[in-house]
Amino acid sequence: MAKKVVLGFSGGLDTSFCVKYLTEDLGYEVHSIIVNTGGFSAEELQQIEAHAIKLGVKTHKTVNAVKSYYDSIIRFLIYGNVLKNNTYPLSVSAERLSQALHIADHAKELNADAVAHGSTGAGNDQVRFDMIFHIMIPGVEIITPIRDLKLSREAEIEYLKNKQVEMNFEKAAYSINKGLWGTSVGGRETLSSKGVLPESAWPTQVTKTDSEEVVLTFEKGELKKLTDKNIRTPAKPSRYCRRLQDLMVLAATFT
Amino acid sequence: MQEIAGPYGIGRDIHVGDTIIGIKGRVGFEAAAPMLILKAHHALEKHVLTKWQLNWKDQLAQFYGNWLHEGQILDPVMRDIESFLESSQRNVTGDVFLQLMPYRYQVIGIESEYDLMNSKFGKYGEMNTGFTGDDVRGFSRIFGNQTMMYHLVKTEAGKGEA
Repeated sequence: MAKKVVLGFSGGLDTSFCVKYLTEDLGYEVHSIIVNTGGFSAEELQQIEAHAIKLGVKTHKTVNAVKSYYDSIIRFLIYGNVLKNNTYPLSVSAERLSQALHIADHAKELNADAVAHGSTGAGNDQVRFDMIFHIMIPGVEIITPIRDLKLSREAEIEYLKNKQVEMNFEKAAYSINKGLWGTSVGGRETLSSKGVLPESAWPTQVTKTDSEEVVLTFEKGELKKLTDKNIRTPAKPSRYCRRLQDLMVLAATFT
Repeated sequence: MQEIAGPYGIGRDIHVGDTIIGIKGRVGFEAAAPMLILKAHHALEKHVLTKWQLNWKDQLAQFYGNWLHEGQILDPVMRDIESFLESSQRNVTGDVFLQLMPYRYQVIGIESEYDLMNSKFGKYGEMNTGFTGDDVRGFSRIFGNQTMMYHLVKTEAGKGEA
């Protein structure tokens, strides 16, 4: 009987490689899971599920973690006005933790023999995932194909092409990580100490040229209401209110 | 919020920070909604919280953010800090008015029934109501009392040396 592994899956090159490698080279039964913390639209989640199944996972689970992400993490970042080094709202760091916790839960639920993630050996995510797994599911084997095999992008692409995997292998010029609490952008200009991203690299382009007044209503530190008064047309003010839940759904589908 | 504020290009920056593994890294980010929410929230807090509430919040939040960034969300100290933070928010209720423009924003101000800035108590630089100039004379004499004593003692002790 094949051993069960739960894999944190995003549908990208690294995690797609992991599915094939874990099933065909290591003989595991792969159970993929994607944790949506606001970075994926409903349509994207469906496409990712279809992709996972086509790659050969035994089961795929989509967790809609937006509410729990807000309640247990974002809420406190707002209470604390948290900006790392006075600058960064922890867009990616906070999200990874929420994802790791849900992946651990799923591994526990399935009584998995192993848990896998697509982190490289170069960054922060490997520590976050490993650590949370050691704490939440001690004793469960942690497999990290990308970190361990030290494969180049090209080698991964060749491996998948040899296995007749059809997906978009084009490397984006900038590495984007989209989420509820911000989107990170990494690329050529951020690899050295000087240089800013070109205007075209930003996922959200500047399209508004006028000015707008908004009112944020807080209750005990939580944003409860947002009112937008378009001051350019005072005769017909465009007003709409959204509760934060709606904002989060909006942010999740925002492209 | 993101839909409203994103197209203004607000909240774009590049962060240079310390990674968990020791190297320094640089990353660009866009976070229009988060930045505006944080700044609006802080503006409201500056009106409704006391000086030392604000100070201790900053200190604990800085630790909290760093430890969270390093993946230590399950450290029980984080639950302790969350209790503190949650408690500090009991009067953080009110409206915050922002103006959004291309690439920047302005905090117009706040309205809150918990606003500690109230002309009942005085207008900074203009006039005092609720306390007199004599009150402040006495306060200024006493507030620096111990520091004044320290410097007097230091001067006297210096003279005693051969």
